[in-house]
Amino acid sequence: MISRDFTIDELLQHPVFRQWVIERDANAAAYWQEWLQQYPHRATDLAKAREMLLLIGGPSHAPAATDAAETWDRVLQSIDSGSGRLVQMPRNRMRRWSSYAAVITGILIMTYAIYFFVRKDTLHYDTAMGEMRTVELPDRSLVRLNVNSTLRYSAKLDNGGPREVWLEGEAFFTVQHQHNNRRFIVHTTDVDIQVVGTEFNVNTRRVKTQVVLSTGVVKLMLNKKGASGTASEQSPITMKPGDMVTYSSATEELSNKKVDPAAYASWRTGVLSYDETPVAEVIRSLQDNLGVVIQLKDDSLGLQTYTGSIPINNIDVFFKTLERSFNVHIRKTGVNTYEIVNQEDK
Amino acid sequence: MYGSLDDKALWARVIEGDKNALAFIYDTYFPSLYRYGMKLRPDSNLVKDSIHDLFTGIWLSRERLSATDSIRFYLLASLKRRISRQQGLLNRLAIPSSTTPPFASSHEEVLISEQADRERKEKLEKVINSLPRRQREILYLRYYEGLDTQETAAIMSLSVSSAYVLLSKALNYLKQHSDKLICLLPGAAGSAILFLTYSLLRG
Repeated sequence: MISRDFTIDELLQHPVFRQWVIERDANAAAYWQEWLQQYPHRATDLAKAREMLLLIGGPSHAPAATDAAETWDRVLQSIDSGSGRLVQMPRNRMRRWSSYAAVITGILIMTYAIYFFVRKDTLHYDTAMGEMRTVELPDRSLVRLNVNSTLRYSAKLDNGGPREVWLEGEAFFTVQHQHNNRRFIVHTTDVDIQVVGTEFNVNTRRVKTQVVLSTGVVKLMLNKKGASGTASEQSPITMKPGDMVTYSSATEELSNKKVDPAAYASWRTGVLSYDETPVAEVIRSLQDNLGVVIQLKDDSLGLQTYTGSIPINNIDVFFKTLERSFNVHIRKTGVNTYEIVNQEDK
Repeated sequence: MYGSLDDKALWARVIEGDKNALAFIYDTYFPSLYRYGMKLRPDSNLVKDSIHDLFTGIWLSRERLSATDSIRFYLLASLKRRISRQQGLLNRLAIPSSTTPPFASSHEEVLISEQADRERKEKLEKVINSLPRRQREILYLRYYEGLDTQETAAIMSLSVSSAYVLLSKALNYLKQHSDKLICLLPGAAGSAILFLTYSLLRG
């Protein structure tokens, strides 16, 4: 029931009124239809208010169908070059009057880029949920950055000292060996990973760092909480291919096991692989990689293990296997949220 | 996922570096920004360039952005600033050219659009165009974009009390001069109801 009468002025200020007239929303239309049944003598006022609002809107210049997407593409281009070192402003068409503005905008952005360069001395690469990217470092080493991750490195990476980068999130490193055996160091909250030339995966999500070595040799320095000295005073852990070392500075927990490195690097190809992995851990990994939220109603399922591959664009593969194997039901509770319940509780 | 966030939370996501949140905001507000931009300056390329600059600017300087309760207000105000700056012509509201068809064919018009109705609409359009541009702009921001009076005042560089005065002046003028035109048509109420039914069926 709609409680009250509205005057023209009040109609004009009513958000649902706007929704009906401008956005042609069906729910809003239903709302006003019901209202009209209650206040039939207001039919003329409703019509008047609507005409006035359309009049206020004036001849509307609706964007062409492709305008929104095309402009967004240009925004993305500018953003991506902006977080690197060069900023270009792609433009449709230069005109006399806009060239001055363009020059000024260019200068402003250059100033920003220089400020970024000089002040911070670091380069920043961020990926959002659903976005992966490959960063080529000045020494030709490649970093494949997984979703929702950040890589930073000094603008002076090539100045002769050790090559140093900082990582949050997950990335796969392919480090180029240099003739003078120049060290390459990945810093995370928990460890420093030292290599000279090798391939390995680093994951820093969930308050710990997990390093999986594919080829070559890696030396790991743990960042011990409250340790007075630097990492160099501790004896480093030497990893061999297939080793997985996990360490958390927060809890000081250290673990080490043999794994199939390919499974931990499979995200690069858009597939997440699990081998006898507890379901709870698979769910955490899906949350990290796909940005979904999965609620597990029955904790005992979390201890069961899952083996298989899940394409990152098709989470249903995982859900179907779960439903088949464990007598559970998956409910979609929102755009990106799911709930796993026992079949009986359904 | 972003649809459930309020403006403050959504904006905080952007500040934290969530590019998808920015994309969501872009998708939500592009039509509004484009429409308003075209009112300020009916030049499609200029408007699109300004929207591009606006979003690029937001992302590149996100760490220095302050929190906002109303994303719509922030975007409209910034767009106006950018367009005014680029143009060097402050606050110029476009006068629709005679070639632009008024209210480009909406469906309910197809149903009732007759010669008489068209003439009536042309007269109505004269009414709004006879308003000073500042009054047209304030009506647009307050009622069409649905900003509150404080926000409207801020974009128009007015005090809140003068915004109230200007707004009621413009609205009264519009009511007076459109009253006859709207009432003259017996089908006006019917047209709204038709439109109601139409929007319902469509949904």
